[in-house]
Amino acid sequence: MLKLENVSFAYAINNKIFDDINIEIDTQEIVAIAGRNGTGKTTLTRLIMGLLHPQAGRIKLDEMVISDKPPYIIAKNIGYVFQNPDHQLFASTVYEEAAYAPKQLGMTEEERDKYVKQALINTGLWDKKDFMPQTLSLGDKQRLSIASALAANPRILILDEPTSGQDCRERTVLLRLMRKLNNNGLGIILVTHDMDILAEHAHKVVVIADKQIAYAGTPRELFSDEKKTIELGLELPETVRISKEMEIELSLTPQELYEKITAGRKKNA
Amino acid sequence: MAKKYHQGSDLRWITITTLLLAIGVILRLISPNIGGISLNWNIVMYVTAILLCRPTLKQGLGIGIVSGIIATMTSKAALPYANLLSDPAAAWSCALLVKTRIFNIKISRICIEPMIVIFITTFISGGIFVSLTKIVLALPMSLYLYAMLPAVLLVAALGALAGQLFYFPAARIFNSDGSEKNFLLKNINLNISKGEFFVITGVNGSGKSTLLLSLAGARPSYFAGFKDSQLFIDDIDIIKSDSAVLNKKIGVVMADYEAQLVTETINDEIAFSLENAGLSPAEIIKKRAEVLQKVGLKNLGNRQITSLSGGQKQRLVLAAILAMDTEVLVLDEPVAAVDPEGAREIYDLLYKLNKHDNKTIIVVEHDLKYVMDMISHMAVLENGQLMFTGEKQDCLKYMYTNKVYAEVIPLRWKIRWEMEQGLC
Repeated sequence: MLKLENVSFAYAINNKIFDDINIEIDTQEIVAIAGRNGTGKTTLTRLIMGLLHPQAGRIKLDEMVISDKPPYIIAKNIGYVFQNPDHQLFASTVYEEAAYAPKQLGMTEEERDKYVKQALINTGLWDKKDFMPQTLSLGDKQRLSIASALAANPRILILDEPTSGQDCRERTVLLRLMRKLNNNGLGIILVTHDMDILAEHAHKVVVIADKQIAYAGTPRELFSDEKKTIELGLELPETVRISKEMEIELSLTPQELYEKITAGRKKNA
Repeated sequence: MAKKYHQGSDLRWITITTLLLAIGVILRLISPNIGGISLNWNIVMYVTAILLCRPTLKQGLGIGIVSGIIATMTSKAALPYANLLSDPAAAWSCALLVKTRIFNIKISRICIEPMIVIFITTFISGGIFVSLTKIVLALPMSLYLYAMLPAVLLVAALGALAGQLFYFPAARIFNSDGSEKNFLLKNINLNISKGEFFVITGVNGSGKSTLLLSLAGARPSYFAGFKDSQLFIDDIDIIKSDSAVLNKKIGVVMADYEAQLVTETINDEIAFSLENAGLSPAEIIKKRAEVLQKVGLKNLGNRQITSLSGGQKQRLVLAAILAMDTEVLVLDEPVAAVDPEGAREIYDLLYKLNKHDNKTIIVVEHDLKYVMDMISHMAVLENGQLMFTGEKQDCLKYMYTNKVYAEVIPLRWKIRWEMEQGLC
């Protein structure tokens, strides 16, 4: 369990980004962080990573307070994937790129090789381990940033807008990977604008608005209240809109939608 | 199509010719002169240039005149000024020979056109040159027939051999002519009519942006790599038109829109292109107010561009393009770096421009989420091939049935279609 207790943060005096916020994030789930532009989604992830420090309150991972720890301690537990993969790729081969963090974290060579291999296999990049990162496609680059984070064997992975710039095919591959990693026990914190992705994949959603946590709960509960969703600066996912228009039970994933449509037809027949 | 390869713009033929002529001069100056006969590298080089660029007859004549001037100044012959007539005449004939392609003959897969054309051209040039020399200097006929003309034949034969050998490396360096793999876009036949809201979709790397830049007139002009293709936007033949003409008709918003912002404030940005177009201050102010109103940045004129959001910057670039009053707007993933709210604003704006101002809008998108309702026509690309182009509904049906980038088809459309077909 990742806990933020009474956390306040400001970049400048009198301009608080967060004012006394409290959240609990289950480290087994996919938790989405949403909100308007500039509300502090990325700031929140940086606080968790220890790249920024709260002016008040503390952040705990299980019983360990992490908000006063240096980033490298946190990095052993939490991996971070930047929005733009080019910001974090610098090694000359895919393998070295993935091996960088474990090396810095002082893993033994044996451990390192094991985790790097596992991470590259998981992300489907093992065949490309000798490639130069800069020559990869955008989708591959994004998955390499994930592999680099995974190689440090973290418990939680933070993904900041992981699908931006990717086409629908690459996006599908990436989201499938995220689900697989989560099924294998990795906690995911997903920052996203895309309500379709959020509805389909997130177990929980945390919405930030007006320096506060404006909503924390399941996507289903959130989207069943259309007024509140709009108030929070979010839009309804396409699946929810379609289910409203077709007057069927609220569906979050396309699969669910298809099932409800078929069920509705049978009932009518 | 009559013309198989489009051979580039003004820049290309001038660059290649200049470079080759310069090499020719150097080679000519350092080539050994054996018994009064030396290889005429000037001719070899301009013929190679003409073979590579396939210029018009007028351009061929131009190449000849330049070469003639160079030859006059570097020649050690008795009557150097004869070059001023012989070279232009020969280069013009060479351009004619190359244009008609009558010597485009292959012997066991090796094209021997360079050899034949260089021989004939050198013979024409040399023939005129020695004839003039004979007449002007009143040389005896026997010298002309038994020494000068055979020398010309010998030089022509030498030139033909040297040119044939030189042509292949030159073609490799300057031409993408021939080998298939150099063409990213193949068999593209695209006709976009006035007033369409046209979306080009496909996965990353399928050639969308290349096609878009081609539509804006960039690629076909600067590279020769465009094969068996025709691009038309409302009767404008993109491949054959000059970029100066296209600039007046087509406005482009690039994927990296920040690269298009050059000034400090919004007002300056709009004024920049208008000033360059030569408008008076009063006209600039009027036009500027009009376009800023259109894109919803009316009261922000004095704002620093760096303080704008992604969506606002995107709309500013659009305003700057709108100020130029082009009939066609071409945009490369205009909402890629914008949040959902901004994305809707931009597409609503484009829709209005399409419907009210009758602008032809051409957009590249790898996601149809925000643009679906605006599209009238679309095209889908895969591996540089245009898989389908036509009305939105037909294109989506094609993509669905043939599983061509079917991931992009919006759920709403898919469900409706499947219900209509009784599939769900």
